[in-house]
Amino acid sequence: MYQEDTIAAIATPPGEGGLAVVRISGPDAEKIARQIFLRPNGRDNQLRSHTLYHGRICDPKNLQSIDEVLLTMMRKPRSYTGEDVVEVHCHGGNFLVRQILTVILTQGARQAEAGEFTKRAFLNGRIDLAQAEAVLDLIRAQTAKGAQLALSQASGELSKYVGELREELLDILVQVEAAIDFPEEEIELLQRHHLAQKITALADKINLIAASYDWGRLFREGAKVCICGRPNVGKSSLLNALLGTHRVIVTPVPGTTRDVIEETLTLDGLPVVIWDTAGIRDTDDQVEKLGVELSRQHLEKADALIVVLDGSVKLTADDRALLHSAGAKKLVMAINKSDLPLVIDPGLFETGEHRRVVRTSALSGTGINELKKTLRELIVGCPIEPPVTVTNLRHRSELVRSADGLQRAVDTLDRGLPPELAAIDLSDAREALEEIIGMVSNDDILERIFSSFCIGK
Amino acid sequence: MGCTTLMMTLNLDHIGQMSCNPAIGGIGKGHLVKEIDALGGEMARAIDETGIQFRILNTKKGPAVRASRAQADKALYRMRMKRVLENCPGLMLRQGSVEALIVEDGQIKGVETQIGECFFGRKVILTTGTFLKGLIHIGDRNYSAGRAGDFAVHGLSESLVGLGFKVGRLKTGTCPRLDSRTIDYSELAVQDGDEPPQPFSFSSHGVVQRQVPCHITYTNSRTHDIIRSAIHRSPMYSGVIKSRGPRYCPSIEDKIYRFADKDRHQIFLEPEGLDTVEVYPNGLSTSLPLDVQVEMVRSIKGLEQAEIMRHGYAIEYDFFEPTQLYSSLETKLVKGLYHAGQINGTTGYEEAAAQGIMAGINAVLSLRGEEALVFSRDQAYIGVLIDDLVTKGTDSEPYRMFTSRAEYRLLLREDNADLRLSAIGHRIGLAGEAEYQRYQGKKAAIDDLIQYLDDNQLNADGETNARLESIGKGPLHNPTKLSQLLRRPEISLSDIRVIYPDMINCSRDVDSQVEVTIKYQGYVNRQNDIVERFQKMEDVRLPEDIDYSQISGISREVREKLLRIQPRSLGQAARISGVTPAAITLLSFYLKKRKSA
Repeated sequence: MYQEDTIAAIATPPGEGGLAVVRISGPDAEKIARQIFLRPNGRDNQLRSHTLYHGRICDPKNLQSIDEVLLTMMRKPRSYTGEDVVEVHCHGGNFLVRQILTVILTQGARQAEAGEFTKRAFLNGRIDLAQAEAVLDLIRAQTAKGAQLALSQASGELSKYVGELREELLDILVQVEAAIDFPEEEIELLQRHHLAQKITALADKINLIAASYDWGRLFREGAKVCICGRPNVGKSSLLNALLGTHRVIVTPVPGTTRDVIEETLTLDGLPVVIWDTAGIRDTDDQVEKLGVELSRQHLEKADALIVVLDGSVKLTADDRALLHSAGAKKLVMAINKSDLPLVIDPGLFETGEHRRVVRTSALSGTGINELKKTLRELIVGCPIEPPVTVTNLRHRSELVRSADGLQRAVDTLDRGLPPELAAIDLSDAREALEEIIGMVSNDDILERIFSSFCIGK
Repeated sequence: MGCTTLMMTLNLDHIGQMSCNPAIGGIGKGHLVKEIDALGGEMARAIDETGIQFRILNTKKGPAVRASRAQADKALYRMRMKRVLENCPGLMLRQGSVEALIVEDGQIKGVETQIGECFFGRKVILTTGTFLKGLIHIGDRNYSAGRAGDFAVHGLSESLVGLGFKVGRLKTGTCPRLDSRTIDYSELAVQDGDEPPQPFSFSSHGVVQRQVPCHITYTNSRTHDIIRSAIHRSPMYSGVIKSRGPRYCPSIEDKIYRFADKDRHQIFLEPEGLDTVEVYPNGLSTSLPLDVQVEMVRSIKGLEQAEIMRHGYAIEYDFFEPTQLYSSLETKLVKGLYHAGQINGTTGYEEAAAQGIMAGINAVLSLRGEEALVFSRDQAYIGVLIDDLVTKGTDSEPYRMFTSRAEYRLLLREDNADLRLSAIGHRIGLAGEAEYQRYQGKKAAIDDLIQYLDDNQLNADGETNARLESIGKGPLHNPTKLSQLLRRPEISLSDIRVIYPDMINCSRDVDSQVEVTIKYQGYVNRQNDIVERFQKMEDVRLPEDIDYSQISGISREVREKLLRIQPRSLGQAARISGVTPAAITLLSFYLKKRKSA
């Protein structure tokens, strides 16, 4: 619920950093700033909009100086939220920043809820819905690439592209509507099957970016990769090699790893949560059995698997069983121990879009970079790169709704039903797109008819 | 509806005079005529009695966009309308030019004519057509007129401006009229009406006048050359006329300039009546000088010897932004004053009639102390029309109805206008008892037939399939309900009557309702779902005393728009151009807060 009070929060991410920003937004922002901000030599603290001032933040109760800061005031509506906004640029460090925020809160501001600045920006019409949602994704994004995707949406790239799709859809609708409203005008319209083709082509484009959601999700939330294989093929060594550290204890005793070890790494911007699991094999050891069971659970959840095989020995029944149980999951077979003579024939393995083979040596580090590259390709793998990426579930479901509407329109046309019914389907599709960018106008169609066709007897 | 009423007109002989094309209906417009008829209006009956060619348009498309159109005998139509008025109890007819409104304390009191006669009444409805400061242009000449042959009115426009109304100016035009005896029809394509002709009115017994054909010819490259070489003499291009004309009804010179790649334009030659030789060359609207009109007309096939009896012209006139009206068509500035028709920036007889009947109804309802009758956008084209006018205005060009303006087109069909509106027309006392009985009978017959189709089924036996084959349809494999069979796109009710001869007989009207209901059920249901969502926004009423300056966060521009339009509902507010979804969110938050406060 939108309230007209003044909110404040630390705007920079938590943790130690050189600088931090505390933001205040709302009708009392300026009043609060003037109570806690002292300019050098006691100069008056009248604040001009969009000007950077140097000074100190003091606790008005005891006039004790908290930090030396830069402060800027942005008067409404020319601010991020569309309200009066004050930003305090202070030194980083959790304690100091919290102290400044506390002083602000004691002066009558309320701690902002997560995303509340953005919500106000949206409600005040500063940004559209797609932008607002992207900003929230940006806040949640885990890595630089995820942030970049969200950022491109925040700057309106998704809105722009969806706007283009909407244009295409309107052009199609114009054909249908012109035929309905102006049947006696000898206007040249597309034939049914041509219309259906155009609609299908548009649906494909929409489906492509809808599918990019899963792709975007990987960058935002990280991909889950499970390293698996029978005991003692070098899974933990491989993880260490991937991480470039000695995170995991490596012994020649099979079954050393019984817990699942979770690590994160970044593959060219793609955040990856990597699970090193207990070796999977038939065993009677109760403790090891539990470990194997846990491994299987993680294997299920993973977006991709690294199946480690010992290249120096023949494929065992356990290896085969594991590869079989992976089913259609994306996997890289890491033929490890490439420093030893090769006994396995890598040519024997079925490879394809979802199955790759890489020769590695965890010991010497050979093939590790290739493994990383292959893994990333496998996870991100997108035959046609979508022109924009959808990172928000609501956007994705509207896109799916739009594509469904288009598909229904094609069916309606194919079944020989009248064009005004196809128009209903097309309008559904259009509405879904407009829900994403938050715009509606029914006049566009007539506008287009008049500019494209010679209408009027 | 029983009120004592005065009708004041410039010329009693010109009541119901068609200034432009002598035709009623068309796509979107036919829908309006049927709605007017269902409410108890005259237009449909008048055209049924005086029409000389009837056609249903869009027959190859679906039922929702099929529309009736008819050519009128211009003189008969006019006389028929006057006769109805003369026979209307409680209605006084007077000739005179209203030059001023009498207003006290923001309340209408009456009108004053150019000879100083005053008439007093509790309600006044203005329907000024193109007469307010009408200025006719032809070539570089212009003269004051309401239409060719009638005086313009000047004082009334100024009276309204004096009261604070915002005035605007629009332009429209008409074709030259040709002498039928000088046209060579021998080489031209003939366009006949439908056989048998389908009347407009739900309560009509049929078409009475002799039916006549129209003819079709085309402009050619020589016509276009003539126009191009004389374009500097057109008042539209020389800059004399500054207001914008309707893009859907362009002059021939407009068409040639805006669509230069088209090498010909279609011209329909439409007779203006049975007892006249005047012909309306539909498609040749122009304001070029008369000598160019003659040359241009004579360059067209079949018109080589044609004589122009009346010249074509453009006309500019005053209108008043309809955003200055409530949805009842009452003005916001003056209580008891209503505007209807071209004064609101619309074009077309049908659009004018639709507003006229609503202004009349609402004036009476207000006198009775009842709530105004406002149709929603899913209820009637009339609702779409008035909502568009009072919400969006008509800024730059005259407003005409198109089916694409209606979001719920499948629900707003010509064929169900009576089902949608007859009960309302009857309730307010406008539609007669006989019409109401007919409507109830039709409704019952529809329900019965739907029930019957659901209750009866066909066996997939040899006999059934042989019958299906005899009409060229695929066989059945399982026992099938009649309603199920009707859902097949290629099967009609008349097909089912062949396959299942026992079926009850119904009127064509009823059959077509049932076909639509069953065949398009999925689509109808989906539209109904959307209507339900739409209705939620419509149901959120905005109180009249709402103070938009109290809602922080909305831009000044949006606030000004809301203040000016004073929307009735959140839904209407959302339709105002420039009002963003964010502003609507804020508005709804404000309303909730206000409610809980």
